Amino acid sequence: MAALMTLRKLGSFPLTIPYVALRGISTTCTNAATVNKNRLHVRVGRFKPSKDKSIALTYDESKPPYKIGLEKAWNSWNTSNLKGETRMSETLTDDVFIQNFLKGTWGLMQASDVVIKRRHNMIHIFMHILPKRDLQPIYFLLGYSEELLSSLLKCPVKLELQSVQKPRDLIFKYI
Amino acid sequence: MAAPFSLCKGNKFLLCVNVIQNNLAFISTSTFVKSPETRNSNRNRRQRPDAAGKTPSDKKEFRKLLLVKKDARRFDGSREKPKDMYNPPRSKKMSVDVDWPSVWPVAQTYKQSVVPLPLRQGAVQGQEGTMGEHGLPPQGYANTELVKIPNFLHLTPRHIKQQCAAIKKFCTRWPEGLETPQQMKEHFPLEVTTSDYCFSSNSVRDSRARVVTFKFNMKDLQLDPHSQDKMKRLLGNRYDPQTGDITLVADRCPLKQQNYDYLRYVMTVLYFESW
Repeated sequence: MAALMTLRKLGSFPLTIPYVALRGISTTCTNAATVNKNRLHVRVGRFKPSKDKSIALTYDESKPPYKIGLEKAWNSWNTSNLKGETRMSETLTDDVFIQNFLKGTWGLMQASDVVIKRRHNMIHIFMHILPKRDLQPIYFLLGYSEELLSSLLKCPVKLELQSVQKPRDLIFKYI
Repeated sequence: MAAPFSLCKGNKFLLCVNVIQNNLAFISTSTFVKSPETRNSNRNRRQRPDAAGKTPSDKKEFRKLLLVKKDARRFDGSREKPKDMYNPPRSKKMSVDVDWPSVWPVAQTYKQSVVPLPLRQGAVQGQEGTMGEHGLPPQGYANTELVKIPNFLHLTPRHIKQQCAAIKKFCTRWPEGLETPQQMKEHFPLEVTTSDYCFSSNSVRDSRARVVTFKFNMKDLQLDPHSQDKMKRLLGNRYDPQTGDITLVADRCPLKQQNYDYLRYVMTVLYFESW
């Protein structure tokens, strides 16, 4: 669902930040040149309502970025934000890579955003999927993703999937 | 209804008779009045075909022309998936006194199908027909928010009890004579401090963990006044005059073990130099 959503919505974004809440990342621009002009009028991660309420949004998409931590949680959990911790940029790059990789591997079977949790050495990736009738390809893609991501990111990667019966189950709001 | 066409004379007569009979039957059925004979005649009666190959029901009923089959398949993607594809979730089959540590042994992402609690998460301004329509936060099914937050379902009191019971057989008692901090200091005058760092990365190594600190007191060393004075001069600000504590810190080597050995060497050299 979200995959289809992103395909439609990409045109209206001024910035190219991935549409996912990342820990330690500020999604508002505080560029001195634009502050006076726009008074911080930023439109990242928000959607213009349609006239006939036809746009379906998941819970993640319906909450704006400034609600992260209030009504919405982060999609990526790691320790890179703490004092004295290094590897913030590498972790962030790895997160973006994981998102792109899974989007390419699973495609339209991916129903929701990717949630990445790092526990010590391991990366636990969570995703909702729309299962097909035949589960063998899904098992294959699961193993394939885990193997490749483990060897690319140099640490154990566990992919946890939950299935959603219809894409409509993830819809929270129509605007 | 259509009787088989044949052009021989005899059958033409039969054909007319058939048509008239069928029409009469149609008329009689449409007026919903049946004679007593016809009412009972059609029930539980084996219908034998007559000379023209027609059964009585064929003659009386008006055969409908079906343009569209009843169970036609609609290819609009709304076909229901077979029910055996989705088993009922495990949480529905779980008993109340299940052994939770065996269901959830390690830290896992939240699985709504396994956890039998009716948890909900989300701030709602929902619309009709969607998850949050009744003003309640969305349920656990297809809820990413519940998954995102860390859960401690792997650390319930039962878990901890089981794990402690398993480790207990490897534990020994605290030695006698070491109850108070003064006793400990008396028997173990040297205090070594090291730090280990816990973080999420694909490497276990952290350079901050190489720092080693030695702490001991001047009183614990056997020094005469001259050597004590020399020691104090050698130590500089590593000596605290009020308490008499000496603090040596080493971070010059890349590994903790190397720094530890270096500090032992430093301590030895200091002592023998001051005498």
